Amino acid sequence: MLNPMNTIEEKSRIKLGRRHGIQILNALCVITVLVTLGGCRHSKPEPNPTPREDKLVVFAAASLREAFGHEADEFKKSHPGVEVTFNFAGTQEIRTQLEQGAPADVFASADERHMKALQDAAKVESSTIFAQNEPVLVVSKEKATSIHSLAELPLAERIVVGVPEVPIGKYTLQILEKASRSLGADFETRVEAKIVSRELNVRQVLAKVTLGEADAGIVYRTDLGANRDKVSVVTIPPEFNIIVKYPIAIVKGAPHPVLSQQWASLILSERGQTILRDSGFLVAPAGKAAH
Amino acid sequence: MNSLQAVVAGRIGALYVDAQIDTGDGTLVIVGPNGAGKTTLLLMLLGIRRPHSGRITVGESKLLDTAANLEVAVENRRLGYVPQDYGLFPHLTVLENVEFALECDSTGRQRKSRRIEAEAILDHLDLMELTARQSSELSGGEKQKVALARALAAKPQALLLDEPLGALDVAARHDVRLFLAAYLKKLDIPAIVVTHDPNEARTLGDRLAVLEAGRIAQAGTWEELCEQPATTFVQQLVSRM
Amino acid sequence: MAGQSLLSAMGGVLVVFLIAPLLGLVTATSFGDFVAGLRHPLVWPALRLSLITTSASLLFVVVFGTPLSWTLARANGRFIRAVEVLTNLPAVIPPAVAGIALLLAFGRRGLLAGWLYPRGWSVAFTTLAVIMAEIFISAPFFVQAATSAFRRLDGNCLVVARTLGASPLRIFFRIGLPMATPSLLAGAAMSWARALGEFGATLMFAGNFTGKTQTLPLAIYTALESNLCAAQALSLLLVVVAFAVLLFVRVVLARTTADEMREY
Repeated sequence: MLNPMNTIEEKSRIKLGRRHGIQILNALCVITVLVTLGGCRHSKPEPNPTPREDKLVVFAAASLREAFGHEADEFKKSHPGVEVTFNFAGTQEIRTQLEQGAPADVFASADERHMKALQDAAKVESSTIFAQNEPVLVVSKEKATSIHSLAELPLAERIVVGVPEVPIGKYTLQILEKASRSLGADFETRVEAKIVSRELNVRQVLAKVTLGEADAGIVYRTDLGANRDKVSVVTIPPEFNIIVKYPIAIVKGAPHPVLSQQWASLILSERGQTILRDSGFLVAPAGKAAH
Repeated sequence: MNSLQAVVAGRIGALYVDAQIDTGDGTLVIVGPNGAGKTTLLLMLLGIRRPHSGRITVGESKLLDTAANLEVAVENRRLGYVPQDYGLFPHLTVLENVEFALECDSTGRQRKSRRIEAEAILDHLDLMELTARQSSELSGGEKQKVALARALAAKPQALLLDEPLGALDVAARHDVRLFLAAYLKKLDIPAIVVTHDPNEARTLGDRLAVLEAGRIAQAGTWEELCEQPATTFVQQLVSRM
Repeated sequence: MAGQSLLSAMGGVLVVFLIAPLLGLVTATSFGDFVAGLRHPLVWPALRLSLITTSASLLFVVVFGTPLSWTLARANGRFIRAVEVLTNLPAVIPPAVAGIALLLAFGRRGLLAGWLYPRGWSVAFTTLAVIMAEIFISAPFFVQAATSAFRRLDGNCLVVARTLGASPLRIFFRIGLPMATPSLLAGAAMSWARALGEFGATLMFAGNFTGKTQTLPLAIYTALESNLCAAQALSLLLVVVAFAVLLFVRVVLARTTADEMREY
């Protein structure tokens, strides 16, 4: 099976490698490498020891908008007076911004590959997986009665997916490929024939199914949010599904290293993980205590 | 010759126009100060502005009779109009300007016969050297002649000129005035000339109507106005000569 | 003289601000990158689709927008003013919202769905939807320019044409249209440029499918997700195409306005 995505990605990695932004390295900042989740789970965020840091800038994948909003409320409880600023965007966009030297403290990615690339370019410290997400099938109300499972997806007349260049599109391709192995070799082809649009982000996919313009699409479970009732949600069998790992890392030369560290600790703490779970994330990376 | 007779009343903006005019057998000059409603009156005759009551006739042909609920559209009134800045179509040549007037009648003639007629009209006014020019390449006097030729090409039943010398410089004014006075004398349709200039008022028309604040203050020949000026304005008008 | 230098300097500030990002785009893309970007598989289908759809939308906007503008410019009254304001509105709606609005009107569950698609089809995700989105977004630019062009016409010429017995259609085609042509061309160029750059409404209403609904701006955004270089090359291509067309229109305009200037 030819996968055009791989070639595009390879190219991009090479090209982007050349294009380094201005790197601001603050030698005075000694940044603690994130401890493992196990070590972190029981540590409470410390009260702010350096009062000079009153700001925190978090760059995060768009799918974290809701969850991180709640995390910020929690963070402010233990850090009164601290201002938490977010930049939510597609992971690729954030990666470009960081490569161009955007002043951020923490980066939470929806894609390990982009995090790895930034690490290789020495833009971020080492990363830790803090959450997991899974793609689900969403079906418009009109087709809810005929499509109950991934196997019935070809019954849809119009399917929207993410473009292979964005993570959800890449995962969708992988899911279809896996499903073809057991649902019949032509499963992927039959689905492909019904694809009418390759959207640039998950919200576009969801909007089209919510409005009934498309019959079905694949989005992250966490993206359902307030639209949960406007579509029918079909879980993709685990044997076909891709579990998406979300890594978090402190940006090299972060202007607020102490608060960054404390933010990461909060996200990995029991309370932080509960908040993520409430927003639809799976919080059990391999080997860690699951729920 | 027919005469153009009109009684119109109507409010345009802040001005209430209520006037009765009659060209008689020749050219009527409507004279008055700025803002008296001279152009508005012309536009009412043309049908561009609508009086709330009135009656306009040229000979036997009725153009407006509000009492009888009759109103002929602008396009069908057959009144030739030369505005103050002549209104030549800037994208057309002199010849094309005149041809446009010929296109608009419904006889459906061939382009060639229209051209021959247009050239004849221009020749009549000694404009043959200008046929290929555009209005930007004409002097004020030439523009005025072309506009006159164009208006006459449509075979109007009366001719309306608004400040015909108003856009000309002083040097050109004298010659054009003499030409126009002679031309209007020969014309076989009634004409109305609007002006604020006493000199033009005296030489261009056979009869005058003095318009003040929307109303005709006095009408008659120049001599009649001189003998018994009805208002201070008329007094000043005739004494400035 | 000093006053004029000050004015020029102030204008220069804006020029620098407008050109700097374009210059950034040019300098950040080496010739090799540009050539490589042009070989990107998304480029040619997207460029072709963009040229086809913007031509179609421009044609529609001009054919229907010119009579509309003529009517708006010639008529008076509250109703006409309201219509004029309404036709300007799409220019201020954020494009993504415009896309949703188009879905809500012409989509499967839209206002006109029962009438347009008795059998459940809808125009969304088709090339026609791209054209509709471009028309919706770009028409106000043309209508505004054309209406003010028609309003600026010498009223005396139009009055004279009527007294000569010309019908409304003859006045429109032989007098109004040719007299306003330079301004109409300028308005059409602006409107076309806006349609060429259209992104948000297209993505929402027509989706993103190579060769069918993926216009150049959508291809740029798609490429941006994986390959910044290709995105830059595509952006440069978009800028070059737009520049060439707008420059061409300017040259034509300069020629016709030079003709006009001689009159005054």
